[in-house]
Amino acid sequence: MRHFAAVIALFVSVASYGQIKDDISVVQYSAKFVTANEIDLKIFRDYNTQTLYMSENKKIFEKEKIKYLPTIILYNDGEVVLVIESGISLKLPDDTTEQIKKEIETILENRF
Amino acid sequence: MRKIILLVFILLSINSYSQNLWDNVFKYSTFYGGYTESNSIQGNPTFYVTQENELIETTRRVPADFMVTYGWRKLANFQYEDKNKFYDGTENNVATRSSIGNTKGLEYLFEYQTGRQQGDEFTNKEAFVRYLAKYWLVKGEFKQNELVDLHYVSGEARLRLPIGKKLSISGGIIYRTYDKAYGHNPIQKYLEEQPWWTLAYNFANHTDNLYEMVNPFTGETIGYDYQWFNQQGELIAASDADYRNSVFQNVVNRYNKEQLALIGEYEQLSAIVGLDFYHYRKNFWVHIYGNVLPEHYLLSGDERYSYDNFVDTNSWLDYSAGGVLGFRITKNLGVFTEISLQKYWDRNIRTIKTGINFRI
Repeated sequence: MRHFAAVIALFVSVASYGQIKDDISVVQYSAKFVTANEIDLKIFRDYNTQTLYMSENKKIFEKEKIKYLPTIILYNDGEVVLVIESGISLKLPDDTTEQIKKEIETILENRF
Repeated sequence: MRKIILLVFILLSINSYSQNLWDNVFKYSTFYGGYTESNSIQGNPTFYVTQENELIETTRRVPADFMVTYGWRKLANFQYEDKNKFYDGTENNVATRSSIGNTKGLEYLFEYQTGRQQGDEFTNKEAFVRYLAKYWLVKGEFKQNELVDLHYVSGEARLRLPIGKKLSISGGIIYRTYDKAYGHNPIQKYLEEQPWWTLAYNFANHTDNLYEMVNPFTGETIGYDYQWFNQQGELIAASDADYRNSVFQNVVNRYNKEQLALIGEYEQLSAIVGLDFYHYRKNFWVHIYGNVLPEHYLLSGDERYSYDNFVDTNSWLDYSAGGVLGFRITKNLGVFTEISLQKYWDRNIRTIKTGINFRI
């Protein structure tokens, strides 16, 4: 019984750990004061998308070493594939969406 | 002017539709063809000595194995799968056994193989199509594998409940056909009612001849036995034991095959429940998939020989399950395990692979 419980516990912890980075994930690290500078992630709705705010996810921001807001990170099964930072201007590059699309295309191509 | 606008609109629609069609159906798909050849396993040399003391080699020479494959596939590999530079038809596609893929949308595989293995010629055909959406999936499969004597068609529709991003539970119905009266053995039934030699007489048209064995030195009778002859009157076995050991096995197999072929195909509808769990990181990955079919309903086929009739219930458990686990303990040390289990009717298939790698 103890072994069974241990297996279930392992299963659940693995299942819940690091879900923001699973599969192809586009995560926008932002803050309430720069919402106007965020990009709309709806065009990536076929993949995992999330916008995280610093005030609510401080630990994640520290762990991911986010320096600029907003920052967009594209993950592929936990691996960082692309980081797009706004820099001191707090503005993401105009071709952000295009850059992400291009990288996703490469990820998908490598899967087949 | 209106006509031009209409024409432009139609062209734009066709272009957008064809772009969608291209992206959803053809993009990332691969046509492939392959040829493989290798030496077959040769048996030990065998010899025959004639009455005149002549030595004749009777070793069976097995010609080389070969396989020609043609295929068209759009199947996403899981991250832990080895990505071959070229597809040749020998891939072990986990995506076709699991209820999830490493991508959403349409995936398919069409493959035709023909060749020879250990002297036996074969033709294998496979078609697999699956559409995976967030909350549902549909899947169709056709398999004809002459190497393992497997032939079935299946189609299923399921609702899917993703729990987080790694776990998914699904449930629905599956339609399957099978062309064998699983569980039933015609020869067993025959032997319960009649002696074995009636099959030799009536089915194989073999005849026998009783003879007496006499000790030539004493003239004493040792016993009696039968010689066996084929339809042309040629001697094929010198005794009952010789006949049963050499000839009768083929008669039994032929009888079973013919009787099972007379029974024909079955169509069955079953409930299906599945679970899929996929987690991948560079140093640790686990993929578990399982499907259970607990309830069954016979749609067509000879009820007398159906599997429902053999097990005397509609509630037996068919299942297919598997798991892949890989763990890089250190930079140089890693362990891996792959298990695949399937029990459909009375057919059990099990493969287990496990190992350790240590890089120096």
